[in-house]
Amino acid sequence: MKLKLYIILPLIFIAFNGNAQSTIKGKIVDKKGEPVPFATIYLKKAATGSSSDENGFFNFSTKFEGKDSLVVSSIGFEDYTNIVLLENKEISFTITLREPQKILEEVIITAGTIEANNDRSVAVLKPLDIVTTAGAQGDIIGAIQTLPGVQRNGGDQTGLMVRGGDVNESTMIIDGMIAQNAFNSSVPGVSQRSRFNPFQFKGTSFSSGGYTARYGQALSGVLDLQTNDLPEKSTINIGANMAGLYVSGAKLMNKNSIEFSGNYTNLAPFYKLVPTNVDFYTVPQGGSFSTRFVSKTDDNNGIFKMNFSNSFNKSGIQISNPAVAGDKINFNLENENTYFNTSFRYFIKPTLKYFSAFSFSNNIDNIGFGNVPLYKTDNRVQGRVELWNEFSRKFNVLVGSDIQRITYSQKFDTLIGKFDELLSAGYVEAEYKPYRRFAVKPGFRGEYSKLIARGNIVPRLAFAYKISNSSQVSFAGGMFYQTASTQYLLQGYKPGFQQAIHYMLNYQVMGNNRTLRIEGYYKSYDQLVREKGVAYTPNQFRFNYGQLDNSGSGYAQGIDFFFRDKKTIKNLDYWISYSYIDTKRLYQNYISKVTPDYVSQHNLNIVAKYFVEKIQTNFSATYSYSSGRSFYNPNSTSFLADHAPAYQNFAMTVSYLTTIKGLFAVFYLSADNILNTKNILGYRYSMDGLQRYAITPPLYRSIFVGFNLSLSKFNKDEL
Amino acid sequence: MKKVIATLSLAFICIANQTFLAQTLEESVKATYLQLDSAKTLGQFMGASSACDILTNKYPNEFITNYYSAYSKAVISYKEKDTKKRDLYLDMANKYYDKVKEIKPNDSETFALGAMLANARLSVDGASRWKEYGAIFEQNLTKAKELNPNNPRIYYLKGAALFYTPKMFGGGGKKAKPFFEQAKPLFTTQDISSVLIPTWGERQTDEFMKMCDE
Repeated sequence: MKLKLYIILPLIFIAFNGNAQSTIKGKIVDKKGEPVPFATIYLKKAATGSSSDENGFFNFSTKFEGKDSLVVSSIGFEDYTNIVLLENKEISFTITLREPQKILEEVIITAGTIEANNDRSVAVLKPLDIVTTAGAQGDIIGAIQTLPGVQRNGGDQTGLMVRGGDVNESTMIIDGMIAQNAFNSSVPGVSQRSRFNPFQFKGTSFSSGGYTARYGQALSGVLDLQTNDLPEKSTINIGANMAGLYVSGAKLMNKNSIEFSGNYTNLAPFYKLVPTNVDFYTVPQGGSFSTRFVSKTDDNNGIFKMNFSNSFNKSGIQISNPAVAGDKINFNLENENTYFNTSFRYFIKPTLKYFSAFSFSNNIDNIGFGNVPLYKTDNRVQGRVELWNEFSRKFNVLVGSDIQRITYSQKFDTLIGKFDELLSAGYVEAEYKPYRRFAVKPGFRGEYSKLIARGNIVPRLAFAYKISNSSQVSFAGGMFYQTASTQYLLQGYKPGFQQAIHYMLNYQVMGNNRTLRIEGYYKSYDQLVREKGVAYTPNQFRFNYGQLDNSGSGYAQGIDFFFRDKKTIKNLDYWISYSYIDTKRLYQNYISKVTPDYVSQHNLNIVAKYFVEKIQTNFSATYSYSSGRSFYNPNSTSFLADHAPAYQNFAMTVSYLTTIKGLFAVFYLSADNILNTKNILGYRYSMDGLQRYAITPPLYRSIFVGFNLSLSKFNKDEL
Repeated sequence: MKKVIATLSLAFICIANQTFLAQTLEESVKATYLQLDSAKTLGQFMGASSACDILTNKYPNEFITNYYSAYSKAVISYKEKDTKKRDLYLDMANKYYDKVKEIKPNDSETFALGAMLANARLSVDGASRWKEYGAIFEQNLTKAKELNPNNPRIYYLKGAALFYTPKMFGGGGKKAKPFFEQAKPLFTTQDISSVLIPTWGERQTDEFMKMCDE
C-alpha cells in the first residue's frame, strides 16, 4: 500500500511540473480566404485558448496531452470544432469558418395589404409614421391617402376611395367591429375628418382589396385598426391648438388601466386666421368625452378592452346648393354620436385563441337643409365570435361568425324613410405553410341579409412565395358582396347584392431600410345598382331614384407603386407612392359606362420626414398630385368626358420636441397647400347649361399651430 | 495505520487540489478582468471577451465567469457599429446570462446585469425598442435595488442610460449626473476582497461625470 502511494504522489507532481507542452498555432479565414480577426479559439478539455489577431493569426500552448476538441467561434460564423491530438508538438492549422445558412424569415402574405404595426418588425409603416405625415392633419385617413391605391380627396368628399370604388365601398374596422360613423357627419362639398385619434391605435392594416374572409360588405377594401393594449405608464396629456383644447389621462394599475379624454372644439381661431371658400355663420364647435378600460388576465394570456365615447358638434355653413348650381343655401348641422366597443382576446392555450367583440353605436343628425328640416338617426349593434386553432406550425384555421343589426331612419320635411337590416355571416379561413417559402390562405364567407332576404357564399384566396430573404411575390383575390347604399334602402328599395371580384399580384422587396412594392390588380364589378327612368343629375343629394335594378357593371385595373427609403441620407425618411388606374363603371344614375367623377387616373404622393437632432425638430413635407377628375358638362356630347385641371398640394409640418421642467412637450406648426394653389375639382353647370361654377376645396392655403404637454415625468422614479 | 495514512494522503491531495483550483480560478479571473478593464480598442475588447469565454469553458458553473462573458459581449455591442452584429453579440450575452440567472437567481448583480443587457438591446434601435426594453431595464433595476440598494452599478447604469437618452425625452448629462453622484461613494464602500463578485464601474462613473460637466 505504501508503495502504491509513493508511486502516485510523484506522478501527481510530475503532472503539475512537467515542462513538455504542445503549441497550437495557425490562421482563421473565411470562405473567401480573408482573415477573421478576434475569433475565440480554445481547447475544451485543456481549458485554455486564445483569440486571433487582426490578421487572423493565433498562437498558444498547453501542457495537456491526449485527444481534445479545438473550438473556434466568431460572431457571424458557425462554430468550428475539430478533434486534435496533443503530444507535446507544434500543431499548425488554417481554419476556414463557414457563414451560417441564412434562416429564411417566414413568408407573410402582403398582396393588397399595407400594415403599420409595432408588433411586427417587418411592417412597411409604423403607427408613428402615420401620425407624422404632413398634409394628413393628424387624421388617419389623411395619411392613408398618401398610400398607393387611394384616391386623393380634393377636400370636397368624405370617406376613403380605394382603387376606383366610391366612399361607400370601403369600411373602417376597430377591434374587429365595423365603425358605422367613422367620419364626422357629412356636409355637402366639405370633407370631414375621421372621428378617431390616431394615437389610440397600435396597429393599422390597410387593405386595398382581396381582404380576409373575416370581413364583408365592402366592394373595395377595409381599414382594420387595433386599439392600444395597456398604456406603458400613467400619464396626463394636455394640449391646445387653433381648433380647441383637450385633456387626457391614463392610470395604469398593474394589469388594469383606465383612460379618459375630453375635448372642446371651436374652430373660430382657425377661421379667423385662414381664409375659407365657404362661409360659416355658426363656427364648428363641440365637445366629446371618451373613456377606456383595459385589463389583462392574471395569466397574461388574455386582454379585455372597452371603449366608450360620446360627442356633440354643431355648425352652420353656407354651401353650394347641390340641387341648383350657382345657388347658395344654409346648411345647419347638429350631431350627437355615441360609440361603445368591447373586445376580449384570450389564448386558451398557445395554439388556441378565442376572440369576441361587441359594439353599439348611435348617431343623430339634426340638419337644416335650407329651410327644410332633416332629421336622421342610425344605429348599429354588432357582435363577433371567433376561434383560431393552430393544428401544427404549418397549419391553422380561423372560424368565426358576426351578426349586425342596423337601423336607419330619416325625416326630410314630411318625407319619412327608414329601414331595419339584420346581417349575419359565418366564415372560415385556413392558413397552410407547407414550407417556409410558401403560404396559402383559402377562405370562405357566407352572408345573409334579412332586409333583402338574400344570401351568398363567397371564396377568398391569398398566397405568397418568398423568392429570397428580402423579396417575395404574393397574390390575393376573392369575391366581395355589398348591399345597396343607405340612400336607396331608406326609400324602401330592396335591390340585390352588388358584386366585385378582385385579383391582385404583388411584388415586394424589403431590406436594409428600403422597401419597394409593386402591385397590379384587376377588379370586375357586377350587379351594381342602377337608377332607371330618371334623367342624370350630378346632384349627390337627389331624391328621385326612379326604378332600381342591379344591371350595373364595370371594371378597374391599375398598378400601384410604393418605394420607401430610410437609408440613403441619415435621418431622412421618404416614400413615393404612385398609382395608375383605368376604371369604368355604369351605376347609379350614369347614362353610360365611364370613369366615375371621383377618380383621378394618376395619383402621386411624395412624403419626406427629416429629423434635425441638434435643434430637436422634425420636418415633414408631402407633395401630392392627382390628375384632373371628370365632371358633367351638359353641353358636351359625351358623358363625364370633361376633365378638371390637375390637383396639387404641398404641405409641411414642423414639430419641435423638448422638455420643460421635466414635462415632455411638442409644439407643431402645419401648413397645407403652402403654394396656395387654386385647385379646381370640377365644374357645375346651371340648368340651362349656359353658366358654369367651379367646385373648389373649402380651403386653399391654411396654417395650423398647437402644442401638447405630457405630464408624466420621464425621470420620475424612486431610484 | 496504513489506512489512516492513505485516507489522510487522499484527503490532503483533495484539499490541495481544491486550493489549487480556487487559486487558479481567482487568479484567472483577476487576470482576465484586468485584460477586460484595460481594453481600449474594439480589438482589445474582443480579445478580452475571448479570454472570458475560454475561462467560462473551463469553469462553466461559476457565477463570475458567466457574468464576465455576458458583460464583455454587452460592452462590445455598445462599441460595435453594425446593428446586426450588435444583436448577435447580445444573443451570445443572453446565453451566458441564462446561466448567471441559474446560478444566482436572487442576486442584485444578476438583475443589474439583466438591466445592462436590456439597455444594450434598446440602444441598437432606440426608436422602436424603447417601449419594450425600457420597461425591462427599469424592472431589473428595481429588483436589483430591492436586493441590495448599495450596489453602485444600479445607479451607474441608470445614469448611463439617461446620459444617452435624447434631451427632449428627459435625458442628457444634467439629468444623468445625480445618479453618477449617487453611485460614486458606493464604489468605495463595496466589498472588493473577492474577485468572484463584480466590482467594476468606478472608472466608468468618473468618465461619465467628466462628460456630464462638459
